[in-house]
Amino acid sequence: MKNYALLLFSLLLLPLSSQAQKTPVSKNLVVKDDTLSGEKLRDFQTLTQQKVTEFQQYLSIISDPTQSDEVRELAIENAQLLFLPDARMQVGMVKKQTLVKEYPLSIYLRRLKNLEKKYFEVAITFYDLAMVGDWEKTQAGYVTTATYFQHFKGKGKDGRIAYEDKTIKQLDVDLRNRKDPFYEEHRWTVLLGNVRVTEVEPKKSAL
Amino acid sequence: MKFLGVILFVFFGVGVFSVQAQTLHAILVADTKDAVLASACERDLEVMHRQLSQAAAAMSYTLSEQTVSRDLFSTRQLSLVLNTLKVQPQDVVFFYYTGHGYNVRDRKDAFPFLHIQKNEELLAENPALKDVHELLKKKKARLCITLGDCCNNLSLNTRGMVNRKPYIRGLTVTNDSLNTAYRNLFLKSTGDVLITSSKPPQSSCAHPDSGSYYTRAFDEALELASQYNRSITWETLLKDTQRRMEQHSATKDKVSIFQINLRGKAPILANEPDFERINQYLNALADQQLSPQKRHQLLKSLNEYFTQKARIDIYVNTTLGEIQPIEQVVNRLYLNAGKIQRINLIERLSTLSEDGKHYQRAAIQEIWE
Amino acid sequence: MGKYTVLFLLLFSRLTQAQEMDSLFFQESHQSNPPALVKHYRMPAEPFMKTRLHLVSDFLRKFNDTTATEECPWAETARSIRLRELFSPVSIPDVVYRKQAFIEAMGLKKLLKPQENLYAEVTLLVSHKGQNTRLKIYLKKQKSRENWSWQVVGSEPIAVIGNPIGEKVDSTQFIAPNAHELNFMSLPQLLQKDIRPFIAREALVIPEVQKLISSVYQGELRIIQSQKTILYLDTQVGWYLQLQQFNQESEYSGWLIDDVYNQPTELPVPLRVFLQHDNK
Repeated sequence: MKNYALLLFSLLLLPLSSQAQKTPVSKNLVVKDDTLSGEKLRDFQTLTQQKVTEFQQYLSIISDPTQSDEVRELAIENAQLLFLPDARMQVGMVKKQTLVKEYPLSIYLRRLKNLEKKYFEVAITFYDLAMVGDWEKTQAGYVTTATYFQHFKGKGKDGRIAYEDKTIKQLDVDLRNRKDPFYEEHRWTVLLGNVRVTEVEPKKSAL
Repeated sequence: MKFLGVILFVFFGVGVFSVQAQTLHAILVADTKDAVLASACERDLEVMHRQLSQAAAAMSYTLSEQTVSRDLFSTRQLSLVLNTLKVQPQDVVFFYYTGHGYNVRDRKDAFPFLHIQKNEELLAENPALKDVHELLKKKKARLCITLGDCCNNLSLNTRGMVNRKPYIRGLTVTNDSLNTAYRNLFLKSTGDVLITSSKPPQSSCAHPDSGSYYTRAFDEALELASQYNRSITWETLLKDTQRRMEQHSATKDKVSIFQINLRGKAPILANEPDFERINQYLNALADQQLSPQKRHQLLKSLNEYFTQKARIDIYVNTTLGEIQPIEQVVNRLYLNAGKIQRINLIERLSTLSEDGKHYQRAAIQEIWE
Repeated sequence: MGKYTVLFLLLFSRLTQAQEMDSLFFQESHQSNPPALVKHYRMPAEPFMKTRLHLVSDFLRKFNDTTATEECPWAETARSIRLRELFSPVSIPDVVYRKQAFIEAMGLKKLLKPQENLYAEVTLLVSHKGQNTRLKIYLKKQKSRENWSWQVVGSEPIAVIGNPIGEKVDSTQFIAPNAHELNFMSLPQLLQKDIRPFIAREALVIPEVQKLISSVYQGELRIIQSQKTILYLDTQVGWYLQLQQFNQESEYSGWLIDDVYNQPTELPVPLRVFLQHDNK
């Protein structure tokens, strides 16, 4: 009788044990809220690429006089939301000058929309290449650098190219756990920072 | 002792009756011999094998898979498989065809013939997709799905191959989400569904590396349903598949057709927001094929679907990347038309407002070009 | 009128007088009409954009690649070719000679923990006692637990009168580890008032660094802009690499080796001073 009872008991346990939750191993459990997994970091890299593409799109809209004022203002507003509040934008230097100018992003975007022009025709080219480097850990979160290229050509009324340059834009990218000002919760957010401009030297010029 | 015997009998008896495994019968027919479609059809087979394996596992069903392809790709082999198929009342049958197809003028049936027999003198051997479906229905399985991914045009021209690869991104899925959606579609449904990738007289398209466009769209819609949707139905799934087709330039004019005859409780309540419609709305905002004026007009419609201050969680794969108010999201979609390939509304992570008619919080996934 | 308003107006007036030539800022014109046509294009990347070593990590990845290739199945030869490609196209005989010696010495050796042996020389435009001048400071890329940052380890001599400051240091500030990719653009905003958070602990005893700290704190020295960055990489096998960014539209561009040294005496004095302190 005792044996049968034991057998029954063990048989009854079978379905229970297969459904039982594994006891979580909590020994020396350390919660790291200042680090992200490799998968999350890759996703944030993807997000950074999207933001760079988004920024280029806004620059196209802002600089396009055929767009309505409302749409250009919307683009300015959304471009700013991609960046840290104190982000600065470098402006390419005149070839003989040594001083590179920098503007707060808001001023740069505003001037982009209200530009005074010399050229009869302008062509701005962006390239299908937004490179994002690997994240580097800092005491505040992570940083990396994103790179994209831009080509500008301005022609006069006579159709001749009056000005042309090809530039490399490198953006500071900041990923950290921030308090969302609107929803008042902490979450990891990517924001773009300062933008550096470097002019590409054409093939003909010698070093 | 007697009492113990009763206990044991109840335990084992109930167990025996209740654990008899139901079967998902998968019949996969693929023209992997064809000079043009071979590699595309091979891809399609991989995709459907994976989907049906996952579906069977989610339902705890046994998968019984029969493949008619390569050297066995013939009308005779197909007939043999169909005629010898044995089905139990609670089983599910899923018939899938990928290859060439055609229709004929003045035929009342909108569903195509399966172009298995290529010899023009023996074309009469080719079965109609609908006839295959009717034959399988007679097996009296609980659920019978028939899907044909093939042309439906009025000539025997080869099915179109395109150079442009569909921009399909793999989605990360979890077991829990897979199981839920598969159960909704396969376990809770009774009846039959007949599907074909294009209405007459359209052709269908495929790519040698990534397979047939409709099959890939179906695969993606199913993966998305399994990850994101609480209340997926065959109708929403097939409409979503159609919408995905429309987002690719190669298939934007293709129209798939389907007949759904299901019995049983519909999981969506009548006054709940239409998930499919909201998904369409979000994608229309970023659809460059619509005029800027029309898309600008759509900006004013957001309150039909969302509360004024709705919160939108934006995911990159499974990572929460951004949280934005709905107004900012729709503005961004409008401004970035042409750069965003698709928006996926993650219904499972979305919350309705108290009136039950609008989302006050929604989760979306943005897929960029 | 608040001081910020004044500052804004000053800045705005200066900006409107500026003569930028950035592609998106056009020369001031007598005309004020919008252009007839603004076209936007999206093009595939040009070859040099893909091959450019945009970041130092790209450079290091290529440097440490010791595999053979299809074109060159011998690993050592393939490595030698790769190392040559990492040099800027210089033709100064001394450099050419050292380059050859370096490549031979490297063989198939890899750089171990290169990020921990990276130094920067940053040329700053500064205002010192009201006069604009240039000043070079030196930084080292440092790792503390898992966290990276650049820290100041040296400076060119500065004339300063003043006492060292003794207030509490704000340890939450740092120079981001990718600052070199942006030519240390953020230094003017960071190095204001108390710059001790940005100084390597080992460098605090160096007199020139102490003078730098004092002069900034007392307002005698103000950093206007960073102008040029040169990196020095200690290979740990007896050679130092000098890296700069080259931006030509050619197959090999980006971070390239400008010069190599096998004598620490070739390094800038402030770096040598720091290395001596660091080794104590």
